Amino acid sequence: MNWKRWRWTYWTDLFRRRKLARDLDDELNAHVQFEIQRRIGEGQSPDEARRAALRDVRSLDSVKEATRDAWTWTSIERLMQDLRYAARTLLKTPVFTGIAILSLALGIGANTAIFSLVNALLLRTLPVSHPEELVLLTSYSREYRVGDFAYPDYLRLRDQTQVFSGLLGAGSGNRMEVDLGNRTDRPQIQIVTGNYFTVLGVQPLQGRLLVADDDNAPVAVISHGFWQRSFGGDPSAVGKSLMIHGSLCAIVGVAPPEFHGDSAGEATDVWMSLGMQQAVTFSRFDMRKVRYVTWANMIGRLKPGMTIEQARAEVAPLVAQIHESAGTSPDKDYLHHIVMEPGGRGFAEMRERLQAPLIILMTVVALVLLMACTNLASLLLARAASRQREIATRLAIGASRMRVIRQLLTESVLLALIGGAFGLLLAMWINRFLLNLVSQGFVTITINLSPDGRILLFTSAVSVLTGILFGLTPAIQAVRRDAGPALKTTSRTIAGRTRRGWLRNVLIFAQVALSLVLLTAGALFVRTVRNLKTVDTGFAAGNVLSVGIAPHRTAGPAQEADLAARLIDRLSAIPGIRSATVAVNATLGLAGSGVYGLEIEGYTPKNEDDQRARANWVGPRYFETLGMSVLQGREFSMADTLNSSGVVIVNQTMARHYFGEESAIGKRIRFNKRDHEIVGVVRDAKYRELREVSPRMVFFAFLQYPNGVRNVEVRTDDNPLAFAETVRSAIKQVDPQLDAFEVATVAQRIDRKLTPEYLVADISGFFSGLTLLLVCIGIYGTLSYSVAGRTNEIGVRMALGAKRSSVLLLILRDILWTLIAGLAVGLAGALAAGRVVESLLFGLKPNDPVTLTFVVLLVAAVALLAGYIPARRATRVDPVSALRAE
Amino acid sequence: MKNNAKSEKAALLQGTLDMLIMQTLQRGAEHGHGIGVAIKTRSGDLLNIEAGSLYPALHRLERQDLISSEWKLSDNNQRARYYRLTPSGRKQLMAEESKWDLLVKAVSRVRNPV
Repeated sequence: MNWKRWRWTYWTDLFRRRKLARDLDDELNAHVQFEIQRRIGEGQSPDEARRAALRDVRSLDSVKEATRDAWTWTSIERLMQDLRYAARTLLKTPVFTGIAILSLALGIGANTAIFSLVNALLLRTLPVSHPEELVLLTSYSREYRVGDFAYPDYLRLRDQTQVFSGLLGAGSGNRMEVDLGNRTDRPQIQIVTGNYFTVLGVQPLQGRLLVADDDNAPVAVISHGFWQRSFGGDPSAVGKSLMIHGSLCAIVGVAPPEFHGDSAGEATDVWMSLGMQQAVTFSRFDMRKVRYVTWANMIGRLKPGMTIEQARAEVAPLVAQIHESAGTSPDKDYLHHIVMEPGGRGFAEMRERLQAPLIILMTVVALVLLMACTNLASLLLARAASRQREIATRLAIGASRMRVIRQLLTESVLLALIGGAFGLLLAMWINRFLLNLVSQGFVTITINLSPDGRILLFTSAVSVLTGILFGLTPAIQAVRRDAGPALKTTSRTIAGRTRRGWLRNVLIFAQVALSLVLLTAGALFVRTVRNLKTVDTGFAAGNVLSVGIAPHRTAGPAQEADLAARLIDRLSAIPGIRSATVAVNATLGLAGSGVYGLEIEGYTPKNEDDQRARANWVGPRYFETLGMSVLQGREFSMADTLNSSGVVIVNQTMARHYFGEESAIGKRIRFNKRDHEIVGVVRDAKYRELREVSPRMVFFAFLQYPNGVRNVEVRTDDNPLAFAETVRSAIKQVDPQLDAFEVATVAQRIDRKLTPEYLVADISGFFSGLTLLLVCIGIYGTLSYSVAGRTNEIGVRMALGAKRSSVLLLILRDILWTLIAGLAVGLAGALAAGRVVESLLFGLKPNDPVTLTFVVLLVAAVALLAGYIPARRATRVDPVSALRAE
Repeated sequence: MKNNAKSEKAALLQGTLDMLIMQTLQRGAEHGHGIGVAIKTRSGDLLNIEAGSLYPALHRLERQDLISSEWKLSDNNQRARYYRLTPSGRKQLMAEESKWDLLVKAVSRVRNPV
C-alpha cells in the first residue's frame, strides 16, 4: 500500500472508527439472527436455537477483536494501549520512574540551558545580511592587545584599501543620562560612524538609519526595544529629539527589532552619529582629529568574492606604514599590527570573557548527560532483569515477541519523553538563573535565551536512544530466553557473574570515574572562588561606598579642583560618613590607567617598559578612606594643590623595584614635564583584578591634576548601602549636572569581577554534587537487584553456617574492584581535566592533593555506603524462608 | 521456532479461507452468515468456518480491495451486510485457483504415481 493511500485510509478510518465499530456490531447481530433462523428451520426450538447460535459465535468480543485486527488503524489503537500499559507500569514503580525522569531531566535541562547561553554568546551570528562577509579588525601594540583604533587611522584603513565594500567604526557602549523632554532615562549609547548600518546591511523599521553625511550632524537611531520602552512604539518618535548633557540630538529612525547591536550579549539603545561625540564625552578634543585617543572598534565587509587572506595581505603593509609614520612617541605606538578574523558574530569582548567558562560548563553538563544516561541504563537493566517473569508470562499466554519488545520500548521512550519535557522546564528555569547570574556582572546582557530547539532535540534524542538501547538489550534477552525456566522459578544464576552483570559493572565503573572527574573540577572551582574572595586585597573595603560619576563638562582645572574640594567637604559633613574622597579610577572598577616615560631619580631604565607604571589620581585621605595602610611618609591632603609642589605616592612594589632597600621617600619622579616628590609608600593592593600580581603603582594627587571627577569614595560607620541615596542627592546638591550613575560597595564590585568564576563554580559545584547522587542511585539499584537475585544462594550459604560479615563481603566484593578501577581511571581523568582548567584556577594547583584526596575519599565513601545498604539487607535474609521459596 | 511454524500454518489456512470466500462470492453477493453456510453445505459439512475466522477474513479482504460490501435487506427483511467480488478480487481468485489446481495435481501425482 503506498504511503499516500495509507495516510488517507488512516485518517478516514480514524474518523469513521465509531461507524466501523457500529457496523461490526450490526453485522454480527445479523449473523446471530440468520443462525437462529437457520436452526429453527432445522427444527430446533427458538430458545435452543438462540443459545446454540450465541455459543457458535462464542464470545462476540473475541470475534470483534479479531476482526478489528484486520483494520489497519488499530496500530494507533495498539500504540495507545501500549502507552496506557507503559504509564501504568511506570506508575507502579514510582521510585524507579521518579529517579529515571529526574536524572534525564537534569541531563537534558542542563545541556539545553548551557547550550542556549553558548549559542547566544559564542556561536550565533549577528542578524545582518551576509554575516560571513564581515571581518573583525583588532589593533595590537608591540606587546599587547589594544583592540580599538584612533579615528585618523580608521580613515586611512577605510579609504586606502580595496578589499572592503565598507569599513565601520563603533565606540563602546556606555549608559548615559538623557533628557526625553518630560523625563530622563539612562540608555546604552554608542557612537558610530555614518556607514555603520550600511556596512552591516541593516534596514530601518521606522524613518532612516545613519548615512555617511551624518558624521557631522547631531543625529541618532534608536533601538526597537528603546522605542517601545520610552516612546510606547509611537511612530512620531522619529523626528523627536533627546537631550544629552545639554546638547540636542534628533532621532532619525528606529532599528529593526532583531538588531541589538554589534556584540553578542550587549544591547545598544541609541546609536549616535560622530557629530554627537564631543557632547557625549565632554572631550576637550575632537575624537575625529586626534591620534592619541583610540575608540573605534572596526568591522569591515569584504567585497563579494574577496577572502580574509586577501584582506590581510592588503591591510598589513598599510598598518606597517602607519606604524612607521607614527614616530617613536610611546603613546602613539598603540598600532603595531592588527589581527583580522571572521566578524560575523560581532565584537568579541563579552565572548572572550565568557568563552573559557562557558566551554567548561558545556563540558561539565555534557558529562552530566553521560552520567544520566549511564544511570538510566543501569536502572533499565536492573528493572528488565527483575521483570523476566512478567515477560515470560506474557510470552507464555501468547503475546508475540515483537509485541513484548515494542511494549518495553514504549516504556523506555515514554520515560525519555517525560524526562525531556521536565528537562525543558528545567532548562527555562536554569536559563533564568544563569541570566541573573551573568547580568549582575556585566553592564547589560540582552540575549534571547529561550531554550534552543536544536539542542533540546539533540539531548532528547540522546536520551531516547539511551532508553531504546538499554531498554532493548534486556528486552531482547528477556524474550529470547525460553519462557519455561523463567516461569518455573524466580531464582536465577549467580547474578554478579552473568554477562549482564558485566555490563552493569561497566556502567558503575563509568559513573564512578565520571563523577570523580566532575567532583574534582567542581571542588577546584569552588575553592578557587573561595580563594579569590579571601585573597588579601590590601585594603579594608567593608564599609566603603564607591560612586561612579559620568563624564561632565569641565570649565578648567581650577574649577574642577574646587568642585572636588566642595564634594569632599559636603560628603564628609554627613553624619555617619567618616571620610570622603575622589579618584579617577575606582578600585577594582572596570577602568585602569597607565603612565609612560617616567624618569626616576637615580635610576637608569633598562628599557621603555621600565618607565611604565599603573596610575591613579586620588584625592586627600584616599588611603584612609579605602583602608590601605601608608607604610612610610604621609598621604595626600587638601594642601596638595595646583599651586603646591608636585607629590606622588608609590606602592611597595614600585618602591622596591626602583629603590631596592633604600627609602623611596624624598626621591623624585619626573613625569609630564613636572617633578614629583615621593611623599609616601603604601602597601600593595589589588587595583583592577583579584588575580593580578601587584603591579608598580603610582598615585598622583587629584587636586594637582583635576581632570574631572570620575569616582567618589566614601567610608561609612556601618552598612554603606544605606547611604546610597543620601550620597547621591548630596552630589546633586553640589553640582546638578553631576550624574552619579553607579553606586556600589567594593564588595559588589568584587562580586561583579568574579561573575565568570561564580558561574563556573556554582554550576559545576551543583552538578558535581548531583553526580554523586547519581552514583549512589546506580550502585544502590544494581546491588539491590543483585541481592534480590541471590536470596536463595545467600540463604543456602547462611544455612551452611556462613557469617553475616562474610555475606556482607560477598555482596560488596561485587562492586569493590569496579569501584577501585573507577576511582583510578577517574583520578587520571581528574588530573588531565585539572591541567586543562589550570588557567582558571586561583590559589591552588590542579593536582591539589587536599582536593584530590577529599574527592576520592568522598566518592569511595558514598559508593560503599550506597552498596552497604542492600548488602546489609542480604545479611538479614532468613535462610528458612529463602529456601522455602525455592 | 514454534511460533514460526504456527504462523506458516495460519498463512496457509488463511489463503485457503480467502479463496473459499471469494469462490462463494463468485456466484453473487452474499452476507457473512450466508457465506459460512454455503461453504459448509458445499463441502458436505466438512468445513465449518467459525465467525471468529470468517469476519476477520472478510474485513481483511475488503481492506485489500478484493471484495466490497454494502448494507441491504435480506429475503426475510433482515438488514445485512452483503459482500461481492471486485474486479481485482476476480483476478486474484483466478490466480489462486490455478495455483490451487496445480498444487492439487502435484499432490495427487505424488500420492498416486502413474
